[in-house]
Amino acid sequence: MSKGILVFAYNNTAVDYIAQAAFLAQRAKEYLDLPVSIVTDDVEYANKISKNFDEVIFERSKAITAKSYNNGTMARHKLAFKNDTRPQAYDLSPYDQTLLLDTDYIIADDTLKHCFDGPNTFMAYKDAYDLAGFRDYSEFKRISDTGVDFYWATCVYFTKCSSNKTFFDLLRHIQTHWTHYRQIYRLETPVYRNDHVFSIAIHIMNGFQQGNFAKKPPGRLFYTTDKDILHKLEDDEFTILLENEKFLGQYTLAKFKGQSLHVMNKFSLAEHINV
Amino acid sequence: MYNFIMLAQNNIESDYVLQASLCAMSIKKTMPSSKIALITNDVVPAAYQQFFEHIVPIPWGDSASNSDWKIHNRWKIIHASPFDEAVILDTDMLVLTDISEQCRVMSNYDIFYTDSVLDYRGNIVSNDFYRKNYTKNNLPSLYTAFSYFRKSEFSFKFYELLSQVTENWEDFYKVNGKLLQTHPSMDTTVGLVTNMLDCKESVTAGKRSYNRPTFVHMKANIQGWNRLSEQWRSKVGAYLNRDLDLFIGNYKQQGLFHYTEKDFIKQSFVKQYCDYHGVSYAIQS
Repeated sequence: MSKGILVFAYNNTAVDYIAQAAFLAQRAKEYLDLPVSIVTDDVEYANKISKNFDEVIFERSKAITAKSYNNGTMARHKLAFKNDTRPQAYDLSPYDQTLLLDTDYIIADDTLKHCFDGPNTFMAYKDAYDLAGFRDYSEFKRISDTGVDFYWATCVYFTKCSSNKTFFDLLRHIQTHWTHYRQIYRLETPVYRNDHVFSIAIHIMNGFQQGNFAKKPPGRLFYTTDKDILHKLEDDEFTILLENEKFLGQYTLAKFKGQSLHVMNKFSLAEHINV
Repeated sequence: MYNFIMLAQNNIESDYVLQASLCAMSIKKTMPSSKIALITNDVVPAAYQQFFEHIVPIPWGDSASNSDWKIHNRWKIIHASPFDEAVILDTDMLVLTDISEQCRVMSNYDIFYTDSVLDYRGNIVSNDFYRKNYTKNNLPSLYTAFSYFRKSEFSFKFYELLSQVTENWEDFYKVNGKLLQTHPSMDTTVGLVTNMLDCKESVTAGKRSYNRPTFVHMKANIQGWNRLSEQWRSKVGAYLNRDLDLFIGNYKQQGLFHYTEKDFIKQSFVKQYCDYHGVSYAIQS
């Protein structure tokens, strides 16, 4: 059974997702000893920037949306965002067992290696832990106030099997009929988001009830938002400036060591990428 | 096989007999060998009478004749019941899947009230939005919408006290000279009687119980929503599919469903159940 990590990376004018993917590939080799394949629309750049990719897979994005990117609490940019190809992960993955990761997931331990050891065929985190502690978590609890449980598409493990084929077909169906689904699931934003599509599909795979189609991956998913700043990254130790609860523009210094971290501030992450 | 019993009294706004008939149709679909009794003084449409093994009048006159909120006859259920034991349901409920296991748990008691309800997403309700007076006054939070009795000395004693409190609720509801609430309710009355007899352990399962009888309770502000609402139907969609599976906010409902808002009963829902049972659709004239 082949095993590996799959990432999707589509650059815009300010964020180099492909460089993030190359950085992830470096660290995946170090901490997980797993190959990383990249899906992108810029094969030439991906091959140029890194020799660490197992496979570079071309797939053109067909839908470009606009997304707000914060860089700490005082700067915001509206940029193009191409996130429509992830539902094709099942067909595009060269592996029998795939760990699907966001490019801004900074691997710093070997916990996710255990995904490949167990009997579970599909895993995704339902809960995640914000290092800041004080922020409103409700948007990550359910996809809307009245809606279904939120699952993170940031880190998803799947094997090639018929139920997962159905799941990914379902993702594409929801994506195709996104306007319909976002209305009946009462999403307040029209923006297409993979977390929401995965959450709806998991709910349906559970028979429209609470269920266990998606098992919990090992360990915990920790994150900092794009209002925080990654100040320093040395091996498995992160130094982070966390948004201050009461004073806009001020931060609280924090250290995080020995565990992987989803770093959503792409601009401060870029300063620590060395590929 | 379990017996079910309901009490229905129509008022100017609500057709409780229709609700009871729909509930009976749902029971006959999911637990077809069940026997159902309806206590009512109202006319039951001929098409729906077949769903009730017994239709019996309210005994000793209508104690709720001067009230639109007709709970004053609820204590008579044990006396009017043609069954020696039965599960009592509110009329605004649907039995969506077989609840035999829950009924079996209840039948281990002489009297049983559930103390645990679910929201439409299947989570146990832990907030006391509608029951702050219970918390404040240490009243057991019991739900009469899904309850049980077996005729016994203890049961009749319990129901005798229920009748006393129901008929003199303004006296019994007074705590330190103030009323617990400004209107009588059966849940509050049962909580008071349970405290008076100090019998909570004997009439409910407690939180440690496996297979604790429960139901989905659709009061709007116990659904785990951040934003409050007067009516749950303004927040989430509801539909029945062809197999009569009920979906609320895209969640498939299981077991016992307490819809609480009378307008939930759409003509199309009743027609679907009528079609399933091969009876003609009829409403109160």
